[in-house]
Amino acid sequence: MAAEDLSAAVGEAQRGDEDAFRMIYRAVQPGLLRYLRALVGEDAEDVASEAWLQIARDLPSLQGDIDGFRGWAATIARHRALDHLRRQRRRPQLGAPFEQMVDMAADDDTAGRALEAVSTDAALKMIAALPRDQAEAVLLRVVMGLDAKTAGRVLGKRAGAVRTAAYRGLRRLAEQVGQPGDGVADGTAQGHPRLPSQ
Amino acid sequence: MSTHRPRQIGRDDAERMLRGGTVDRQAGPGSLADLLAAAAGSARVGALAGEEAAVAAFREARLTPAIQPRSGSLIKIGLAKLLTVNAVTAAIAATTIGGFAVAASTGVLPSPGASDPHSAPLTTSASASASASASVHGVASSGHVPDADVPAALVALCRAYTNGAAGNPGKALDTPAFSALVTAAGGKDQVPTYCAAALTDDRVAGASAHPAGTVTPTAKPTPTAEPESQSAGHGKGHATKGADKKTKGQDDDSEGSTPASGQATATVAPGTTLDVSATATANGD
Repeated sequence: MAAEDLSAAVGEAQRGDEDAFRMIYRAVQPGLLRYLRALVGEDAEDVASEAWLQIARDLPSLQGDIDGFRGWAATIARHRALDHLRRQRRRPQLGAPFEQMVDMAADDDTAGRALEAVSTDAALKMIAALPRDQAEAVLLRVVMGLDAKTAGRVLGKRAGAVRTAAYRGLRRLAEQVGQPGDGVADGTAQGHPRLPSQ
Repeated sequence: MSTHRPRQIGRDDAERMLRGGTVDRQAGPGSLADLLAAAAGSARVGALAGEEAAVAAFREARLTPAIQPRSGSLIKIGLAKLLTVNAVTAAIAATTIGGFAVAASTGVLPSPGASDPHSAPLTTSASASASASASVHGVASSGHVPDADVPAALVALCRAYTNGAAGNPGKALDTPAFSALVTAAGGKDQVPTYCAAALTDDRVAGASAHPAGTVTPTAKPTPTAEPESQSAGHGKGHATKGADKKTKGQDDDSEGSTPASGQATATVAPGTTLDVSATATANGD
């Protein structure tokens, strides 16, 4: 889905077009869910639902294109996640939340799909295991597709701080995947056909 | 010693990878790029499980603005109100309910298309969308949906809350499941009142499904823009749900199974009051 189409969809959804809203949901929810998974673990679905409730409600007040929408949605979701953690008196679960994801992975027939799913889980798990600021910076940028400035807005930081955090995170990850016998690197290298390029 | 030690990635490489750009394998460790690609990879089945709920919320948000009154321009609200009155008027006229001759007096009769949510005004004023759907209410005079301003989901939450509240009323509201309810009620301490109203509404409605009840509130909006027109505002909100049901054909059991007395709603639903006051203010200007 091209960014222009999605940006147009944002406008249409604001005018009440349900299909446009659906289109946006499908484009944004997967990343949002992964980001939330890193923050609240198994409660990600619930928190995402809450976030979408608010998104649906406040959509008319949003100004911006699909990138703006992503950042806005991430902000809402993050607030919800932090509220959620506060209610539960928990610290963000970075590092341990991904076991469930494997269970939830598509019970797709093809082994390739399964492998891909697991690889994605493993990759997310590794990212989530980073120090929190690094993990969030990497996730917002890679998984939510935000630029540094927007990610900074979500996190309440300057763009430069986000860049640095993400950079540190990547370096740490690079060290990890460089280690021999690391299943993640092997799995993803072979099993995942998609690069997030283009 | 270790041949696996990756080359240190530079900031530029990192930035490129973070943007999801392709990475020259010489410039950075390919496995890191792969890892990021995997993290950003395609959605699995099941990831979109909440889609229908989100869309329902979207629909709900457009049709029942009173839950979270947005700070819209009073003028817009006023305009929306006028539209509402016209739409309701048209509905009454068109469906001959009550045979209120007054109905025609406002002149502008929206086309039947007004009941189409897509034709709802584009302004942020959600009252406007309510107005569009109001026209259907007359048709939906079998009288379901008492809780015009309390969406089914919230009624269900209320029910859950009330049923479970006996144990630990305070605690229940701390769970995320109830956050929507808390938000709608305007605070934790408001929830009992809010729910009492919403559920009473629900019950009254279920108990007395007298069709006359639906006619009355519908007809009341006809007098244009009276500040005191509490019931008018309510009639509008009420109509919303009926419209939703009609146009969408959705069959929500908590609503569909509870034929409503509009009057009951008018007296209790707190959301209604909110909506009405906003509207009335607008009209006062």
